[in-house]
Amino acid sequence: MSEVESRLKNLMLLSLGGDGMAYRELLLKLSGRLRAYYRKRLGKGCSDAEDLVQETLIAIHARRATFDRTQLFTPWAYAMARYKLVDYLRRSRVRASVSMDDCEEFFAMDETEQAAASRDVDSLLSRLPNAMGEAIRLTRIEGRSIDEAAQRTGRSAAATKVNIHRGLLRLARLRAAGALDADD
Amino acid sequence: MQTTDLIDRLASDLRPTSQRAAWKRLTIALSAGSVVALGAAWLSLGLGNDFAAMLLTSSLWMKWAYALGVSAAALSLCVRLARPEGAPGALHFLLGVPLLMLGAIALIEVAGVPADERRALWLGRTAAMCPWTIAALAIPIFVAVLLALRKLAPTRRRLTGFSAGCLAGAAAAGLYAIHCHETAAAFVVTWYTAGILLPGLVGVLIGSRVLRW
Repeated sequence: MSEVESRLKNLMLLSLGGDGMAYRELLLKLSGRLRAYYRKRLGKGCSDAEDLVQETLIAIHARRATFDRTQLFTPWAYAMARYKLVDYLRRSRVRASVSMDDCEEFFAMDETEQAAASRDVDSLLSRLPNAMGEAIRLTRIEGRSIDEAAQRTGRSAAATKVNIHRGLLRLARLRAAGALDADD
Repeated sequence: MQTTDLIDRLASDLRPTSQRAAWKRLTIALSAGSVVALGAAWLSLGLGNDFAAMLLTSSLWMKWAYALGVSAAALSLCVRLARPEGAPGALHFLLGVPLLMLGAIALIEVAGVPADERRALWLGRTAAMCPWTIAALAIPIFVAVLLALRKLAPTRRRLTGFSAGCLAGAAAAGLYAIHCHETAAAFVVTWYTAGILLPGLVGVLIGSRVLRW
Protein backbone atom coordinates (compact mmCIF):
# COMPACT_ATOMS: atom_id res chain seq x y z
CA MET A 1 0.00 0.00 0.00
CA SER A 2 2.67 2.47 0.96
CA GLU A 3 4.56 1.62 -2.22
CA VAL A 4 1.46 2.33 -4.31
CA GLU A 5 0.99 5.53 -2.36
CA SER A 6 4.49 6.81 -2.93
CA ARG A 7 4.45 5.89 -6.62
CA LEU A 8 1.07 7.52 -7.28
CA LYS A 9 1.83 10.55 -5.18
CA ASN A 10 5.07 11.06 -7.06
CA LEU A 11 3.14 10.98 -10.34
CA MET A 12 0.57 13.40 -8.90
CA LEU A 13 3.24 15.88 -7.81
CA LEU A 14 4.79 15.75 -11.29
CA SER A 15 1.33 16.20 -12.81
CA LEU A 16 0.55 19.26 -10.70
CA GLY A 17 3.83 20.69 -11.97
CA GLY A 18 2.56 20.28 -15.53
CA ASP A 19 4.17 16.96 -16.59
CA GLY A 20 1.73 15.55 -19.16
CA MET A 21 3.42 12.14 -19.46
CA ALA A 22 3.30 11.54 -15.72
CA TYR A 23 -0.30 12.71 -15.66
CA ARG A 24 -1.29 10.33 -18.44
CA GLU A 25 0.31 7.43 -16.60
CA LEU A 26 -1.40 8.46 -13.37
CA LEU A 27 -4.84 8.62 -15.00
CA LEU A 28 -4.32 5.25 -16.71
CA LYS A 29 -3.39 3.65 -13.41
CA LEU A 30 -6.30 5.29 -11.66
CA SER A 31 -8.76 4.26 -14.37
CA GLY A 32 -7.84 0.60 -13.83
CA ARG A 33 -8.45 0.88 -10.12
CA LEU A 34 -11.66 2.86 -10.59
CA ARG A 35 -12.98 0.29 -13.06
CA ALA A 36 -12.36 -2.56 -10.65
CA TYR A 37 -13.91 -0.59 -7.79
CA TYR A 38 -17.10 0.39 -9.64
CA ARG A 39 -17.58 -3.01 -11.24
CA LYS A 40 -17.35 -4.64 -7.86
CA ARG A 41 -19.80 -2.18 -6.30
CA LEU A 42 -22.31 -2.08 -9.16
CA GLY A 43 -22.09 -5.69 -10.29
CA LYS A 44 -20.19 -6.94 -13.34
CA GLY A 45 -23.07 -6.55 -15.79
CA CYS A 46 -23.71 -2.89 -15.01
CA SER A 47 -22.94 -0.80 -18.08
CA ASP A 48 -22.73 2.41 -16.04
CA ALA A 49 -19.40 1.44 -14.44
CA GLU A 50 -17.37 2.76 -17.37
CA ASP A 51 -19.37 6.02 -17.47
CA LEU A 52 -18.65 6.42 -13.81
CA VAL A 53 -14.92 5.82 -14.38
CA GLN A 54 -14.88 8.61 -16.95
CA GLU A 55 -16.95 10.93 -14.81
CA THR A 56 -14.55 10.44 -11.92
CA LEU A 57 -11.49 11.01 -14.12
CA ILE A 58 -13.02 14.29 -15.29
CA ALA A 59 -13.79 15.31 -11.69
CA ILE A 60 -10.22 14.47 -10.65
CA HIS A 61 -8.94 16.56 -13.54
CA ALA A 62 -11.17 19.55 -12.86
CA ARG A 63 -10.58 19.47 -9.08
CA ARG A 64 -6.96 18.38 -8.95
CA ALA A 65 -6.09 21.68 -7.26
CA THR A 66 -7.84 20.44 -4.12
CA PHE A 67 -5.03 17.93 -3.60
CA ASP A 68 -2.87 19.11 -0.72
CA ARG A 69 0.77 18.36 -1.58
CA THR A 70 1.59 17.78 2.08
CA GLN A 71 -1.03 15.03 2.41
CA LEU A 72 -1.34 11.44 1.16
CA PHE A 73 -2.55 10.86 -2.39
CA THR A 74 -4.54 7.61 -2.07
CA PRO A 75 -7.10 8.89 0.49
CA TRP A 76 -7.68 11.91 -1.76
CA ALA A 77 -8.25 9.79 -4.88
CA TYR A 78 -10.40 7.30 -2.99
CA ALA A 79 -12.56 10.11 -1.57
CA MET A 80 -13.16 11.30 -5.15
CA ALA A 81 -14.11 7.77 -6.30
CA ARG A 82 -16.36 7.19 -3.31
CA TYR A 83 -18.14 10.52 -3.70
CA LYS A 84 -18.93 9.78 -7.33
CA LEU A 85 -20.23 6.32 -6.43
CA VAL A 86 -22.51 7.64 -3.69
CA ASP A 87 -23.73 10.37 -6.00
CA TYR A 88 -24.43 7.82 -8.73
CA LEU A 89 -26.32 5.51 -6.37
CA ARG A 90 -28.45 8.39 -5.14
CA ARG A 91 -29.19 9.52 -8.68
CA SER A 92 -29.99 6.02 -9.95
CA ARG A 93 -32.37 5.36 -7.08
CA VAL A 94 -34.37 8.39 -8.13
CA ARG A 95 -34.20 7.37 -11.77
CA ALA A 96 -35.20 3.76 -11.02
CA SER A 97 -38.66 4.84 -9.91
CA VAL A 98 -39.45 6.19 -13.39
CA SER A 99 -37.33 3.94 -15.62
CA MET A 100 -38.55 1.92 -18.60
CA ASP A 101 -37.42 -1.29 -16.93
CA ASP A 102 -40.03 -0.76 -14.27
CA CYS A 103 -42.56 0.03 -16.95
CA GLU A 104 -42.05 -3.32 -18.67
CA GLU A 105 -42.13 -5.12 -15.39
CA PHE A 106 -45.39 -3.37 -14.60
CA PHE A 107 -47.04 -4.66 -17.77
CA ALA A 108 -45.61 -8.12 -17.32
CA MET A 109 -47.25 -8.23 -13.92
CA ASP A 110 -50.51 -6.97 -15.36
CA GLU A 111 -50.54 -9.79 -17.86
CA THR A 112 -50.16 -12.51 -15.27
CA GLU A 113 -52.89 -10.91 -13.17
CA GLN A 114 -55.21 -10.94 -16.11
CA ALA A 115 -54.41 -14.56 -16.83
CA ALA A 116 -55.14 -15.45 -13.23
CA ALA A 117 -58.42 -13.55 -13.36
CA SER A 118 -59.60 -15.36 -16.47
CA ARG A 119 -58.63 -18.67 -14.89
CA ASP A 120 -60.84 -17.75 -11.95
CA VAL A 121 -63.78 -16.96 -14.23
CA ASP A 122 -63.34 -20.27 -16.03
CA SER A 123 -63.42 -22.23 -12.82
CA LEU A 124 -66.49 -20.33 -11.60
CA LEU A 125 -68.48 -20.91 -14.75
CA SER A 126 -67.54 -24.57 -14.85
CA ARG A 127 -69.59 -25.01 -11.70
CA LEU A 128 -72.76 -24.05 -13.55
CA PRO A 129 -74.70 -26.23 -15.98
CA ASN A 130 -73.33 -25.78 -19.52
CA ALA A 131 -76.22 -23.76 -20.90
CA MET A 132 -76.05 -21.21 -18.09
CA GLY A 133 -72.29 -20.91 -18.09
CA GLU A 134 -72.13 -20.41 -21.82
CA ALA A 135 -74.91 -17.79 -21.81
CA ILE A 136 -73.13 -15.80 -19.09
CA ARG A 137 -69.76 -16.04 -20.81
CA LEU A 138 -71.09 -14.87 -24.16
CA THR A 139 -73.05 -11.91 -22.78
CA ARG A 140 -71.39 -10.75 -19.58
CA ILE A 141 -67.75 -11.56 -20.32
CA GLU A 142 -67.38 -11.41 -24.08
CA GLY A 143 -69.94 -8.61 -24.25
CA ARG A 144 -72.28 -9.93 -26.93
CA SER A 145 -75.96 -9.06 -27.12
CA ILE A 146 -78.71 -11.45 -26.05
CA ASP A 147 -79.68 -12.04 -29.71
CA GLU A 148 -76.13 -12.88 -30.76
CA ALA A 149 -75.75 -15.27 -27.84
CA ALA A 150 -79.07 -16.86 -28.69
CA GLN A 151 -77.99 -17.37 -32.28
CA ARG A 152 -74.67 -18.94 -31.22
CA THR A 153 -76.22 -21.34 -28.77
CA GLY A 154 -79.19 -22.16 -30.95
CA ARG A 155 -81.64 -21.23 -28.19
CA SER A 156 -84.28 -18.56 -28.09
CA ALA A 157 -83.55 -15.10 -26.74
CA ALA A 158 -86.00 -15.66 -23.90
CA ALA A 159 -84.30 -18.93 -22.90
CA THR A 160 -80.90 -17.23 -22.99
CA LYS A 161 -82.15 -14.48 -20.69
CA VAL A 162 -83.52 -17.04 -18.27
CA ASN A 163 -80.22 -18.96 -18.35
CA ILE A 164 -78.23 -15.83 -17.57
CA HIS A 165 -80.57 -14.89 -14.76
CA ARG A 166 -80.58 -18.35 -13.18
CA GLY A 167 -76.82 -18.73 -13.59
CA LEU A 168 -76.10 -15.47 -11.83
CA LEU A 169 -78.52 -16.38 -9.05
CA ARG A 170 -76.80 -19.70 -8.63
CA LEU A 171 -73.36 -18.07 -8.51
CA ALA A 172 -74.66 -15.67 -5.87
CA ARG A 173 -76.01 -18.58 -3.84
CA LEU A 174 -72.72 -20.47 -4.17
CA ARG A 175 -70.85 -17.40 -3.00
CA ALA A 176 -73.19 -16.92 -0.03
CA ALA A 177 -72.58 -20.55 0.96
CA GLY A 178 -68.83 -19.92 0.81
CA ALA A 179 -68.38 -22.63 -1.76
CA LEU A 180 -66.47 -20.39 -4.16
CA ASP A 181 -63.65 -19.72 -1.76
CA ALA A 182 -63.15 -23.40 -1.00
CA ASP A 183 -60.63 -23.95 -3.75
CA ASP A 184 -58.94 -21.21 -5.70
CA MET B 1 -15.87 7.94 -25.89
CA GLN B 2 -13.18 5.42 -25.01
CA THR B 3 -11.63 5.96 -21.61
CA THR B 4 -8.11 6.00 -23.07
CA ASP B 5 -9.15 8.75 -25.50
CA LEU B 6 -10.53 10.71 -22.57
CA ILE B 7 -7.26 10.28 -20.68
CA ASP B 8 -5.30 11.52 -23.70
CA ARG B 9 -7.53 14.57 -23.91
CA LEU B 10 -7.25 15.35 -20.21
CA ALA B 11 -3.48 14.90 -20.30
CA SER B 12 -3.13 17.31 -23.23
CA ASP B 13 -5.26 19.85 -21.32
CA LEU B 14 -2.89 19.79 -18.34
CA ARG B 15 -1.57 23.07 -16.99
CA PRO B 16 0.55 23.53 -13.87
CA THR B 17 -1.56 23.92 -10.74
CA SER B 18 -0.87 26.53 -8.12
CA GLN B 19 -0.28 25.57 -4.53
CA ARG B 20 -2.89 26.20 -1.83
CA ALA B 21 -5.50 26.74 -4.53
CA ALA B 22 -8.47 26.11 -2.21
CA TRP B 23 -7.26 28.74 0.24
CA LYS B 24 -6.68 31.27 -2.54
CA ARG B 25 -10.08 30.73 -4.13
CA LEU B 26 -11.89 31.02 -0.82
CA THR B 27 -10.08 34.17 0.32
CA ILE B 28 -10.70 35.82 -3.06
CA ALA B 29 -14.40 34.93 -2.77
CA LEU B 30 -14.49 36.20 0.80
CA SER B 31 -12.89 39.51 -0.16
CA ALA B 32 -15.07 40.03 -3.23
CA GLY B 33 -18.24 39.26 -1.27
CA SER B 34 -17.15 41.53 1.56
CA VAL B 35 -16.59 44.45 -0.81
CA VAL B 36 -20.13 44.03 -2.12
CA ALA B 37 -21.48 43.74 1.43
CA LEU B 38 -19.54 46.86 2.48
CA GLY B 39 -21.07 48.77 -0.42
CA ALA B 40 -24.53 47.52 0.53
CA ALA B 41 -23.96 48.56 4.15
CA TRP B 42 -22.82 51.98 3.04
CA LEU B 43 -25.91 52.47 0.85
CA SER B 44 -28.43 51.19 3.37
CA LEU B 45 -26.97 52.15 6.75
CA GLY B 46 -24.86 55.14 5.72
CA LEU B 47 -21.21 55.68 6.44
CA GLY B 48 -20.56 55.58 10.16
CA ASN B 49 -20.08 59.36 10.50
CA ASP B 50 -18.37 59.05 13.85
CA PHE B 51 -16.14 56.25 12.64
CA ALA B 52 -12.92 57.91 13.84
CA ALA B 53 -14.39 58.25 17.35
CA MET B 54 -15.62 54.65 17.27
CA LEU B 55 -12.13 53.40 16.50
CA LEU B 56 -11.15 54.57 19.97
CA THR B 57 -13.89 52.59 21.70
CA SER B 58 -13.12 49.15 23.09
CA SER B 59 -16.53 47.83 22.02
CA LEU B 60 -15.66 48.12 18.31
CA TRP B 61 -12.46 46.18 18.87
CA MET B 62 -14.31 43.56 20.90
CA LYS B 63 -16.73 43.06 18.00
CA TRP B 64 -13.89 42.94 15.49
CA ALA B 65 -11.94 40.45 17.56
CA TYR B 66 -15.02 38.24 17.84
CA ALA B 67 -15.81 38.48 14.12
CA LEU B 68 -12.19 37.85 13.20
CA GLY B 69 -11.93 34.83 15.50
CA VAL B 70 -15.06 33.19 14.09
CA SER B 71 -14.07 34.08 10.50
CA ALA B 72 -10.63 32.52 10.91
CA ALA B 73 -12.06 29.31 12.37
CA ALA B 74 -14.78 29.08 9.71
CA LEU B 75 -12.32 29.80 6.90
CA SER B 76 -9.94 27.07 8.03
CA LEU B 77 -12.92 24.69 8.27
CA CYS B 78 -13.95 25.61 4.72
CA VAL B 79 -10.42 25.09 3.40
CA ARG B 80 -10.27 21.70 5.10
CA LEU B 81 -13.72 20.60 3.89
CA ALA B 82 -13.00 21.75 0.34
CA ARG B 83 -10.74 18.69 0.02
CA PRO B 84 -12.67 15.50 -0.75
CA GLU B 85 -11.03 13.56 2.09
CA GLY B 86 -11.16 16.54 4.45
CA ALA B 87 -12.59 15.73 7.88
CA PRO B 88 -13.25 18.61 10.27
CA GLY B 89 -11.42 16.97 13.16
CA ALA B 90 -10.72 19.35 16.01
CA LEU B 91 -11.44 22.39 13.81
CA HIS B 92 -15.08 22.08 14.90
CA PHE B 93 -14.13 23.25 18.34
CA LEU B 94 -12.13 26.19 17.07
CA LEU B 95 -15.46 27.77 16.06
CA GLY B 96 -16.57 27.61 19.68
CA VAL B 97 -13.45 29.25 21.15
CA PRO B 98 -14.32 32.90 20.36
CA LEU B 99 -17.89 32.22 21.48
CA LEU B 100 -16.74 30.84 24.84
CA MET B 101 -14.29 33.68 25.40
CA LEU B 102 -16.81 36.41 24.64
CA GLY B 103 -19.43 34.50 26.63
CA ALA B 104 -17.13 34.55 29.68
CA ILE B 105 -16.58 38.30 29.31
CA ALA B 106 -20.34 38.81 28.98
CA LEU B 107 -21.02 36.83 32.17
CA ILE B 108 -18.52 38.91 34.15
CA GLU B 109 -20.07 42.07 32.72
CA VAL B 110 -23.62 41.00 33.55
CA ALA B 111 -22.62 39.97 37.07
CA GLY B 112 -21.34 43.49 37.73
CA VAL B 113 -24.65 45.14 36.84
CA PRO B 114 -27.74 45.47 39.07
CA ALA B 115 -30.30 42.76 38.31
CA ASP B 116 -32.94 45.16 37.01
CA GLU B 117 -30.57 46.63 34.41
CA ARG B 118 -29.41 43.30 32.97
CA ARG B 119 -32.26 42.94 30.53
CA ALA B 120 -31.65 46.41 29.09
CA LEU B 121 -27.94 45.63 28.78
CA TRP B 122 -28.63 42.38 26.97
CA LEU B 123 -31.24 43.74 24.56
CA GLY B 124 -29.62 47.12 23.94
CA ARG B 125 -31.65 49.27 21.55
CA THR B 126 -31.10 47.29 18.35
CA ALA B 127 -31.50 43.61 19.29
CA ALA B 128 -34.52 43.22 17.03
CA MET B 129 -32.71 44.26 13.86
CA CYS B 130 -29.08 43.30 14.55
CA PRO B 131 -29.18 39.56 13.59
CA TRP B 132 -31.28 40.21 10.50
CA THR B 133 -29.03 42.99 9.27
CA ILE B 134 -25.95 40.84 9.73
CA ALA B 135 -27.63 37.94 7.91
CA ALA B 136 -28.67 40.25 5.05
CA LEU B 137 -25.14 41.64 4.72
CA ALA B 138 -23.86 38.06 4.69
CA ILE B 139 -25.78 37.17 1.51
CA PRO B 140 -23.23 38.40 -1.10
CA ILE B 141 -20.34 36.88 0.87
CA PHE B 142 -22.23 33.61 1.28
CA VAL B 143 -22.98 33.38 -2.44
CA ALA B 144 -19.36 34.10 -3.39
CA VAL B 145 -18.00 31.50 -0.96
CA LEU B 146 -20.50 28.86 -2.11
CA LEU B 147 -19.59 29.51 -5.75
CA ALA B 148 -15.91 29.06 -4.87
CA LEU B 149 -16.64 25.82 -3.00
CA ARG B 150 -18.52 24.42 -5.98
CA LYS B 151 -15.28 24.57 -7.95
CA LEU B 152 -13.51 22.64 -5.20
CA ALA B 153 -14.40 19.16 -3.96
CA PRO B 154 -16.43 19.18 -0.71
CA THR B 155 -17.89 15.77 0.11
CA ARG B 156 -19.51 16.64 3.47
CA ARG B 157 -21.83 19.14 1.92
CA ARG B 158 -24.08 20.05 4.84
CA LEU B 159 -21.17 20.70 7.14
CA THR B 160 -19.40 22.64 4.39
CA GLY B 161 -22.55 24.69 3.88
CA PHE B 162 -22.65 25.42 7.62
CA SER B 163 -19.01 26.53 7.65
CA ALA B 164 -19.52 28.71 4.60
CA GLY B 165 -22.58 30.31 6.23
CA CYS B 166 -20.70 30.98 9.48
CA LEU B 167 -17.80 32.46 7.52
CA ALA B 168 -20.13 34.79 5.62
CA GLY B 169 -22.00 35.68 8.82
CA ALA B 170 -18.82 36.45 10.76
CA ALA B 171 -17.41 38.63 7.97
CA ALA B 172 -20.74 40.45 7.74
CA ALA B 173 -20.73 40.91 11.54
CA GLY B 174 -17.33 42.59 11.25
CA LEU B 175 -18.73 45.02 8.68
CA TYR B 176 -21.89 45.62 10.68
CA ALA B 177 -19.83 46.55 13.74
CA ILE B 178 -18.93 49.85 12.06
CA HIS B 179 -22.62 50.79 12.14
CA CYS B 180 -23.44 49.39 15.55
CA HIS B 181 -23.41 51.52 18.70
CA GLU B 182 -24.12 48.79 21.20
CA THR B 183 -21.39 48.39 23.78
CA ALA B 184 -22.29 45.32 25.87
CA ALA B 185 -20.49 42.01 25.43
CA ALA B 186 -23.76 40.28 26.38
CA PHE B 187 -25.41 41.99 23.42
CA VAL B 188 -22.67 40.98 20.99
CA VAL B 189 -22.41 37.39 22.15
CA THR B 190 -26.15 36.92 21.72
CA TRP B 191 -27.24 38.93 18.71
CA TYR B 192 -24.05 38.87 16.64
CA THR B 193 -23.90 35.12 17.16
CA ALA B 194 -27.52 34.82 16.03
CA GLY B 195 -26.63 36.81 12.89
CA ILE B 196 -23.71 34.45 12.23
CA LEU B 197 -25.68 31.25 12.87
CA LEU B 198 -28.58 32.29 10.65
CA PRO B 199 -26.62 31.93 7.38
CA GLY B 200 -24.93 28.89 8.97
CA LEU B 201 -28.30 27.17 9.33
CA VAL B 202 -29.26 28.14 5.79
CA GLY B 203 -25.99 26.50 4.73
CA VAL B 204 -26.96 23.26 6.45
CA LEU B 205 -30.32 23.30 4.68
CA ILE B 206 -29.09 24.08 1.16
CA GLY B 207 -25.60 22.58 1.34
CA SER B 208 -26.37 19.14 -0.06
CA ARG B 209 -28.14 20.60 -3.09
CA VAL B 210 -26.02 23.68 -3.78
CA LEU B 211 -22.60 22.07 -3.28
CA ARG B 212 -23.12 19.10 -5.59
CA TRP B 213 -20.47 18.40 -8.17
